[in-house]
Amino acid sequence: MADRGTAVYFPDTLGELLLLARREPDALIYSGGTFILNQRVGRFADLPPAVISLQDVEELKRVSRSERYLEIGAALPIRDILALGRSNVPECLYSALRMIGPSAVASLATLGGNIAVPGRVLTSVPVLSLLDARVELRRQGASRWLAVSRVHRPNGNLELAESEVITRVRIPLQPWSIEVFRRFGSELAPESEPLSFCGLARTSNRIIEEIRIIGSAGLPAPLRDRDVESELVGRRIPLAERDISTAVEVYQTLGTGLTPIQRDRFVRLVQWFLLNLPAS
Amino acid sequence: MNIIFTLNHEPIEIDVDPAELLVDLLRLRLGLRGARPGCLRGQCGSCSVLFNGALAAGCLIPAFRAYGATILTIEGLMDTPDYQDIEKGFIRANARPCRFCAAGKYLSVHALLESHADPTDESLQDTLSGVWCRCTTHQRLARGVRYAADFRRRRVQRGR
Amino acid sequence: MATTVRQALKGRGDFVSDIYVPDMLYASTIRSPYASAAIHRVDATRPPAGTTCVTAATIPGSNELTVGDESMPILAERRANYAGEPIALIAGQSQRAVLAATSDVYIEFAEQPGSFAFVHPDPQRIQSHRVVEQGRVDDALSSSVRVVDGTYRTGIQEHLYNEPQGAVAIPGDDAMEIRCATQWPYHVRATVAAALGWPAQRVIVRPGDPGISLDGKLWYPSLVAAHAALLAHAADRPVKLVYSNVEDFRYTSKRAPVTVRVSTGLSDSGELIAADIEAFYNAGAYPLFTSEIVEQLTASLFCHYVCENIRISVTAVRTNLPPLNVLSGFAAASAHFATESHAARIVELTESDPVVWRTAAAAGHAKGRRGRDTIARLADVLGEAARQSDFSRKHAAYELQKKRRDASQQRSPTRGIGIAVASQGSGFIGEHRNEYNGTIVVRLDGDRSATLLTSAVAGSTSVAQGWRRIVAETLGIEQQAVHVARPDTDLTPDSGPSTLSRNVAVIGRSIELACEAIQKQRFRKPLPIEVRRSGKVTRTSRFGPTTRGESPYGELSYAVAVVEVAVDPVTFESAVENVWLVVDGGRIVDEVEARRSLEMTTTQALEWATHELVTYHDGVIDPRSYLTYRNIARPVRPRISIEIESANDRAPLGIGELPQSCIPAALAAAVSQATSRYMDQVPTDPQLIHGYLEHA
Repeated sequence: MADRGTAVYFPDTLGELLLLARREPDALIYSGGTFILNQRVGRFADLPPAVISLQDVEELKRVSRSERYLEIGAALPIRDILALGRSNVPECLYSALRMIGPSAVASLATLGGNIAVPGRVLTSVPVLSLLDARVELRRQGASRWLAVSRVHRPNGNLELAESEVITRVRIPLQPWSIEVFRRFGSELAPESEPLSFCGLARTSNRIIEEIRIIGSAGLPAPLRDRDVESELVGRRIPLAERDISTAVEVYQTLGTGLTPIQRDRFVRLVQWFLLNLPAS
Repeated sequence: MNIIFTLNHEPIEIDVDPAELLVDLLRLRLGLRGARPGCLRGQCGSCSVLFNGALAAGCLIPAFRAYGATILTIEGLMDTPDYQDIEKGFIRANARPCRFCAAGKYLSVHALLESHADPTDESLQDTLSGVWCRCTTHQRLARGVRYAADFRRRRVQRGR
Repeated sequence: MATTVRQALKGRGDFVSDIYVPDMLYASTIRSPYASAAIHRVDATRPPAGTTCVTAATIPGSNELTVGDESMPILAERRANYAGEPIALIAGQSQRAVLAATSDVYIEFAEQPGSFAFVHPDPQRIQSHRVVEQGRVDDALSSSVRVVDGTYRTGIQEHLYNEPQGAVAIPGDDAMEIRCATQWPYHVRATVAAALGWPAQRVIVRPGDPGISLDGKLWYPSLVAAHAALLAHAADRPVKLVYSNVEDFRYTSKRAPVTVRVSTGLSDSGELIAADIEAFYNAGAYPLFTSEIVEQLTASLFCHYVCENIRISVTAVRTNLPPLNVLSGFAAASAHFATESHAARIVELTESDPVVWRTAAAAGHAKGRRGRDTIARLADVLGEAARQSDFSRKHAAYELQKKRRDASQQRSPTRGIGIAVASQGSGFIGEHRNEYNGTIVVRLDGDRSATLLTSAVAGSTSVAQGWRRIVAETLGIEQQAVHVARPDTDLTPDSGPSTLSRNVAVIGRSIELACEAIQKQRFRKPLPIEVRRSGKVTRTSRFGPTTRGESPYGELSYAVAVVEVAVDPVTFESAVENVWLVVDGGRIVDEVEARRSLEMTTTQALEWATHELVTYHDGVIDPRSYLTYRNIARPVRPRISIEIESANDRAPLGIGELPQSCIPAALAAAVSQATSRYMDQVPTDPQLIHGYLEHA
């Protein structure tokens, strides 16, 4: 528990932030802080000796959109992302972000914070992975891009180097014929048997041009099989019973430690998704 | 640490423990007890405040984050015409929130109407699901909000 | 209501968390982490100066909280019997100081195996066992054409009141003032006085409003108040003890789970000729109100349906869980769930019409004018509910869909509709039924104003308004001129616990009697005139085998619920689409408020029926489950249609428990039809539906 000795820094610019992050490698980078405070034990926030608050770094709250990408600052509150509207945010991501929490949480929580939780895969991550989103990681004098699907290592640790900060999230924009997102339970409460499902497909003239399916039970290992997705590309809609059952058989084997309802929900949603692909 | 922020339209300067929760700072240090501790996880709405214009959970804001912020509590809202519109709307629908959840409901509805003059069903659901209480049904509350939106619209049109 | 919404919003309400007294200390409870353990040593000598610690050894008076002839420890001394059981208390200058000092209290435990099963338990764990028998049950079952068996379970439910348990204790000159939210101020007084070893008059309880507490603040506040008072007495300073919501969720009392096994024999025409019913309920580590719960279960099981050969056995069992007992009543809802779910099973197996079968099965109760009146009322609400919901047509249509359905190929939602009956009495019927006071005082003043003095806690504006209306109408004065004094054990008489609709049936009746007495005197005697009355309900006969068919309550209110659902076979979720509730509640004083209240209790019942379930693992609740308990992401929002049938020639009756007693069974029946599986548990949640669809 922190005492009044906690030093809190308020950088105004990205440059200042990166400098501070290098000087204080053990500092807590505080974005929305909703997950941190959700996990606290006592009545006070569990703060380490140094905290770097992102609240004044406007560069981390910018949004830009081109024909190909939507870029969202890592410290932009979820509420402000939702305010962009469904016409600007992919539908599946919009649906996922709505489920992150009530308005009073969404105005504090950020996309960067939702991604960067060690050991836990929160709501936005599977969807961003499916959309092939990438995060920009910066530290003083260096920057790189990393696929969201690679941010969490299999052991749950984050693929972030010392002093690296997530600055923005870049989401490719593609037209999809169908986007589905469903979530059950909460990743913060294992007893609720959490499961999220996201399915994307693009079809044209009754042919599957692209299809992506992912499930998550809040653990680092996603429920996804790209081989199945590749096999389905080029198939005619409606899919043959054999194609669906072959795909379902593979999905039934994914993931370990799933409860029966988690697994059955996931498999049935896959089945339902494959049965309801639109013709175009 | 010393922080400066705007509270109910007044500037405040105060020495705080950075780890202290905003809801406790408001109640214990500043005497504003409308926001109250509930689930302490941001879900129940009891500790709601307007934080930089947006509805926020006071139990998820450590004191240091208040630095430079603009905060409105229920005490700052309740003598305004905006509050009266909501009160009339709830009365009209016989959907008066109980004394326990009233602060959260009034602030949530106020925040909603600030951004959605004619709220959609989806935005209503998102707003009302953020205030836990067994006292009133969602359907009745939703009616109350729609009446409130109507009262507000008419008042604004009248130029008040 | 003591304070308005505006006062509450300005923090001038009577919430415990808003009370700040000069020199006040903050307190915390040190609890057992084990469900079952011997306590070898409690060392409270190490907390730093400036903190105060209380253990069982330092309690000056009695270490017991008593309800009737049952009791539980205020602080555990040699044994911990549930995880979370209070062992020590600590108070300090600030919350931080108290939290830090908690780890300075050393407790040596020896953990032991806990006992959590309660169906056919170890005889040593039986707290109470009651059997009522009529006719020759075993013979009748053997000779039945058909025997229908079922087991029905209602789970543990949390009250989820807004303000967690808490109390402020303020020591004064030879007195202790207690501020807490409670439904039973005089019980708080008695408990605190006993713990301090004082005469009761030295303890003054000034209760706040418990709000929508669902009986969660009936007796538990007495424990918290005793804790705060013990610390205040030891420190000679005011003490505030308030639980966090998660602490409250994990450690306080909840609805007791009940399992009912039913075996019924039917004639070849589907008539009920024999019933063997076994009910078990889990009372937790320290059973309280056992006699009342056992009596209510006994009186409510199959109470609407005639059966000449019937045996009802009810067993209360002690386990290593926190004390489990009341939530919106004393287990009658669980009995009605079992009864109506079993009736639905009989109806389905005999291919009967659910409404016709129920009406016929109840008809045998028509002994005498009262019996015939009862049957007429029951048939009336059944018929009206069926008419409003178009039940018979929908039920038949969904049955046809069910028969034609290939469940293995089903991918779109399936529908069902269910119906259930419930009744509710007011007041206590158990062994201690005549012991609870209902005393009030009404004073008529010279300026045509009146004051009502009662320790009963209204709990809602509508109840208080109802009291004021009775006074105003009987005395012929303006309602605004009627003042309801704040409950205060120093000033207001002992009106008993505010539960089981006593506020309506008992207190309301007391008020009427007092006002009638004033009317007789007011033109002969000078004002002010003050009258004290006690509307104690004296029930002389305990419910027994010879009284089957007669309600131990006397007058009952009735309700019928119809619930229509759509079940998603992909996600196993059920969406409640429509609810119809028809209520016959005697004389309804304020129909607008009654309707609003029924809407609210209907929503509460639906939440219980669809997802509210507290789960213990080896006696412990995962704190993270608090967040998902209410399933906020998918709230229940059906169309709710409520019809209230009011009879001005009858007394006002309690109706608050009716939705909890009929909606869960109606919902389970609807889901059963939609899934072609028997749903036999509350909640009928996706996990249950999944289990039965995948593994039945």
